[in-house]
Amino acid sequence: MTGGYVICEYDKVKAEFPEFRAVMQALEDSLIAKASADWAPLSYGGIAPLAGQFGKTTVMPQLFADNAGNRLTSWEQTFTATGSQTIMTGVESGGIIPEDFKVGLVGLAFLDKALKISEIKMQISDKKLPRMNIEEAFLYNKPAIIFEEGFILDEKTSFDLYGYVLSQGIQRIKLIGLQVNRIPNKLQVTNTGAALT
Amino acid sequence: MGLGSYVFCEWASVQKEFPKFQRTFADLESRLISKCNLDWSPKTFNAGLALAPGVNNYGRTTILPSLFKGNAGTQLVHWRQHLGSTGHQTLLTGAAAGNTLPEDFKVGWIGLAFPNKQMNISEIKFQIGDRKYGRIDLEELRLYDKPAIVFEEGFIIDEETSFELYGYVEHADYQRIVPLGFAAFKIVDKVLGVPGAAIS
Repeated sequence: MTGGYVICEYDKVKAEFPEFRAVMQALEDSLIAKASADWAPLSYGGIAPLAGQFGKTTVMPQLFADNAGNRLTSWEQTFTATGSQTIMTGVESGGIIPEDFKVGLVGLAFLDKALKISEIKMQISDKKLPRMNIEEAFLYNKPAIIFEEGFILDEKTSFDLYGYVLSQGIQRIKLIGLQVNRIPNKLQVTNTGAALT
Repeated sequence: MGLGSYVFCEWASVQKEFPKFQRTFADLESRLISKCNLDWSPKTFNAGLALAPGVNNYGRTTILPSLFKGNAGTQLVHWRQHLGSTGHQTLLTGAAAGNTLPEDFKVGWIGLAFPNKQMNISEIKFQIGDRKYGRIDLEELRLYDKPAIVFEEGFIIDEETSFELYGYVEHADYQRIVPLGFAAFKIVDKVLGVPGAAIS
């Protein structure tokens, strides 16, 4: 992965980073190609999959655990300590993404006015990505970090997001991207907010 | 229904951020008119008389809240409703028995707008007839002033077909949830009542 990143106002991402659409499209294409290969003979069915198809939706918070190790219901979590913290991991044992879900990650959005994190780093499986200082995002009302090349968080692969927490309190950190679901039923018959396994 | 997808956007600038919107909307309108022409034959659609259809025409208007029930199970007068408790909730259903859309109305549904500063819903899912659609996380909408989710391919909610929209409510509060699109009506008298009045 050689791409860079851009820190921006999320609602102006298309103006400040016009390649965003292409990045998102390329990530979606890669994710669909990977899912089609891994989950053959299933084919892509978008948000309205039929029998024999896998589905697509937003990245769901229920696939991840927060800094306390609890499964997220929404992207909101509470920091109860400062300093270096694990702020998000895959929800299953070992910090892995549950089976039958693959996530395309194109960035992070901070859905609060008050940003409580100064630095982040990520690890996807055995691939460690370097520390990034994000204090520049304090300048923005709706800060987001968009990667120039997206990442795929594969099913049964670990994901860890670490951060340096400056102050305790509530923070809503959303993963930007999309998700594909091998078994659409898992999202069609469960209640909103319910766990995904 | 094809593959379909969705886009989160500022409702005020949807055409700039999602240039396909006009085409999507036109496609949905075309499909809905075709369906009405078949189901309501010999009535036809006359675009020049959409709001004041003649005897042999059916008409078109905005989606009316009176066609739906809100979280409390009562017919809506406007799109604002009070979400009385948190967690998984039914947000909108068809207004007639069995959560069906009243007879003589068909709705072309292309998205949802949330014209509030405060967003109290983090996730939605919906069901049209016996077709269930998967959960969608909406929290990204908190970044927008006038948030909307627009489908890349619209849905037709047919008369006497059930419709349910569910959501995960984070805070019990007032919320205005506006389905985007339009409604076709077969009998003009049904929409000539007092504004806000019930439709059956």
